[in-house]
Amino acid sequence: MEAVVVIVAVVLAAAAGVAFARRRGAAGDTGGRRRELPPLRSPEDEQRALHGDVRRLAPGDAVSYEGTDFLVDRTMRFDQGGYAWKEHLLSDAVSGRRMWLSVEEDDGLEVAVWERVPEPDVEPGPAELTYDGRAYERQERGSARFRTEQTGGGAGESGTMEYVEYAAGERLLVFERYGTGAWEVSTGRAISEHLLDVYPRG
Amino acid sequence: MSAVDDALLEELRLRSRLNALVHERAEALREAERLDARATLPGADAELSRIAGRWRAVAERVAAETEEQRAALRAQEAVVARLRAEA
Repeated sequence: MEAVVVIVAVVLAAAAGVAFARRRGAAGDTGGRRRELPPLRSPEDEQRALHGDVRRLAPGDAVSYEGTDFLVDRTMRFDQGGYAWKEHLLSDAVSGRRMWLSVEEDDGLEVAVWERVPEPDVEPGPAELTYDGRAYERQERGSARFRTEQTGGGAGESGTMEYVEYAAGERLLVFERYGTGAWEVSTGRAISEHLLDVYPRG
Repeated sequence: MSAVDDALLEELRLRSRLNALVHERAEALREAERLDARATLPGADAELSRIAGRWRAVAERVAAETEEQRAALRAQEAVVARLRAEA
């Protein structure tokens, strides 16, 4: 009789243990699943919600800048060991003007407009160089992988490129070489993203 | 949907319309330029220059509508800002 009582007690204890463990597991599941909170909105995010987000520019989008409506013809994505940035080729159908818009996030959003120098008479290399009467200092140099995206979503190009960037105050000067091609030279200046009005393609 | 959401949707619609207008103007100008170039070729149809002019007129009309839509967008941005401040 005592043996039966002991066996029943052991079975009941085991059943109670299993039930407790299940409840704890269930409670653990619930407690472990974090509720998704909406991301905090910064003043910059509020502005982007109003005027368009330059970080999401893509071929086919339109951008208004200094009273001109540009179309994004092409986007180039760069990757330098995990550090990424984009450059967008903007074109104005009225004047035929073309310029590049670079967008990168590095301690904040950095946006700059660039125009190509048609026949450059300078070469990259020295720590300092003079161009168009200004003394520029070399800021950085490196190489990156790139790929292009064009309006219509056609297959883009990809490869590697080298760059050397100089600055003279707010004026920028960059040398870029794609593959084994010649150096391409552009002058630029940093601008506030809020100077741009983005009209995304619907 | 809240009033702010409605206002934001309207703003998005205006931006999308502006995008379409910028494309339309660019296409009209490209067509005018293409026909103008073709009109200079030997034996070209005399009508080409006239048709190119019509495309330029289209581009001008689209430019005027673009400015109207841009003004509407500015007004809508003010509505959004006001509703957000009140929310």
